[in-house]
Amino acid sequence: MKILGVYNIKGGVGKTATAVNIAHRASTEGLRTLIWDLDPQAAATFYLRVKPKVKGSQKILKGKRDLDQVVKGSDYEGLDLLPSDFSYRNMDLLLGENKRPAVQLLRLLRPLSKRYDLILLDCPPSISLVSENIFRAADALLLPTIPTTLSLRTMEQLLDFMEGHGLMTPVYAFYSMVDRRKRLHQDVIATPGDPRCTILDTLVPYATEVERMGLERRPVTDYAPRSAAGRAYDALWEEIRARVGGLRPLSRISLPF
Amino acid sequence: MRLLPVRGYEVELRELASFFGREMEWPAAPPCLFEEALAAVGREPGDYSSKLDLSLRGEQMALDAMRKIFRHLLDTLERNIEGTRADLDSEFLHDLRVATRRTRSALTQVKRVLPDAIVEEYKQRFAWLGQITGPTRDLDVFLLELPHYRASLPDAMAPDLDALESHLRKAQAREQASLKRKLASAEMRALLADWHAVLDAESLPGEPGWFADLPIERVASQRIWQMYKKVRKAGRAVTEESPPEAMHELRKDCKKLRYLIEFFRSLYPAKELKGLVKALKALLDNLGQFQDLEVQADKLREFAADFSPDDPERLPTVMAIGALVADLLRHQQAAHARFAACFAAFDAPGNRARYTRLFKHEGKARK
Repeated sequence: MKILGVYNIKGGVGKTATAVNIAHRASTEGLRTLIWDLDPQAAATFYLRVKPKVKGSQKILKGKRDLDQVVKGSDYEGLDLLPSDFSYRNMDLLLGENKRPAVQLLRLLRPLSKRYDLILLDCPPSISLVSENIFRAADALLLPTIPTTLSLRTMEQLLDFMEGHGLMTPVYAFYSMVDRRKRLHQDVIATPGDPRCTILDTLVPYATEVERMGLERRPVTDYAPRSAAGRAYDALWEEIRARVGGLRPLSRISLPF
Repeated sequence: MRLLPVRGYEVELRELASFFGREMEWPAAPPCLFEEALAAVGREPGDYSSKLDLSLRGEQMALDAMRKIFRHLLDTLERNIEGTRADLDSEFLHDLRVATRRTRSALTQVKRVLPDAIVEEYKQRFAWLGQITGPTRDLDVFLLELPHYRASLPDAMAPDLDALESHLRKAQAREQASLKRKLASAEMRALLADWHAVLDAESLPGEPGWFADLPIERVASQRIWQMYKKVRKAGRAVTEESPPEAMHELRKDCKKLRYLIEFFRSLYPAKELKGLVKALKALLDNLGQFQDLEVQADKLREFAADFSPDDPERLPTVMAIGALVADLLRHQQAAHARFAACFAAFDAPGNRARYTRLFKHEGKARK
């Protein structure tokens, strides 16, 4: 099982769209995929048409109830969701009550490792105990970044934080909400990035198809796979798979007939 | 109409089903073809598990409790014979072998409950069953591992294993045919019939076992405690230089300990056992990896020797096998390096206290 955190300190950079579309792409290739919506805004939960409510969410974060019991199926075969809950706004406090708070999420996820090939963490913006948990749980971080100066600064902030905490999790950034008509976007994309992270080649465009996810309540890769955005997520998935490794569905059972 | 379950919506599914049944008064559809087919052969989904799920009472006489365990194991064993003979799935043979091993373990580890003569006789006869099923299982394991082997090689080398695969398939077919015959032999039929007779007999011939009429809980705790102490002592003695044989012996004892705990699980609070079994499993997994990887590497070397090195067409296969062996041995070393951490978790103060609390009793199981 691989865990990918989709993260950025800034909000509104396309984290949830990335998590949902990548998860959908993975599931169509036969990977048993789970998204954990950790953001109290519950956007991923909304996109996948699930009620943003988790019974006993506090018990779950304290490890007194299994995550397993609150997983919800989606409209897609092989794609499940751990919904968000409004109480997640206090997640820092709840995690802080545990013995080793920085690795609590990893501990909670471990029992799911046999059931899923890929777990995507849709993370809330900000940098906090929750984020640190995510950095420690994830095999790699995906960092959607709008090609602006301010975004690059938050990227530096993140990489500094990780370096300061001795975190070696590989970071894969990619440019998101790219508007090719903007000179600034072009310039930022052309600048070489921070050597402490890898910048993927895929550019995800700013597109109405992505915004329509809120109306359709489906992944772009489902309702508009041939659109520019759909193809970009496709390419992004291929790149992630090549980089992260181990993201292949196992040929599970061969039947003798 | 057909209602399909979605994870996390079990209540909704039930409510909807009862709405259609009660409010709409729709008749229930006949069971699906699969269920009908199962019913026709007297089965239902989920009616088999290889898990030992026994409920014993602590004050039960040891002889009765042990017979219950043996009967359960014999039932599992018998239910897997047909599937093994037909070679439907390698899991049949696997479960058959596990039931055999558990039977032998119960015979030799819980001594002096059955008469000694019976223990001696059936220990041998079940060892025979273990032997005749071994070669097929070994080859099954290789065939199951093969996709992983291929994946571990560079893409360009993966097809070089084709010759190995066809070699393995032929060997497996040969062993399977021989196993099929042996499982229908007079010897096998006699073993099952005689063992049934022992388990169902009103009274057993020979001197009754010394512990036969003690409460099972005392016998169980004493046996688990002894085996635990043995594992703990051997584990503490392991160093980086320990020879593979020492690790193999330790693994065998760990397995015995695990089987004992599984036999008598119902006698102890489930919550306490959970953590204890977890640490033991992790230790066993580690030791199992260490040994399995070595056995696989050795076997692969033997296979390589079967291919003539003078035949230039065979050379790529031999080289691919060489790459696999190197990879396996590297993993084996890594497993050995992890042993210390696994054993430390097993030998942690909390876990030690649990063993003491559950299994150490004042006074031994003597009369």
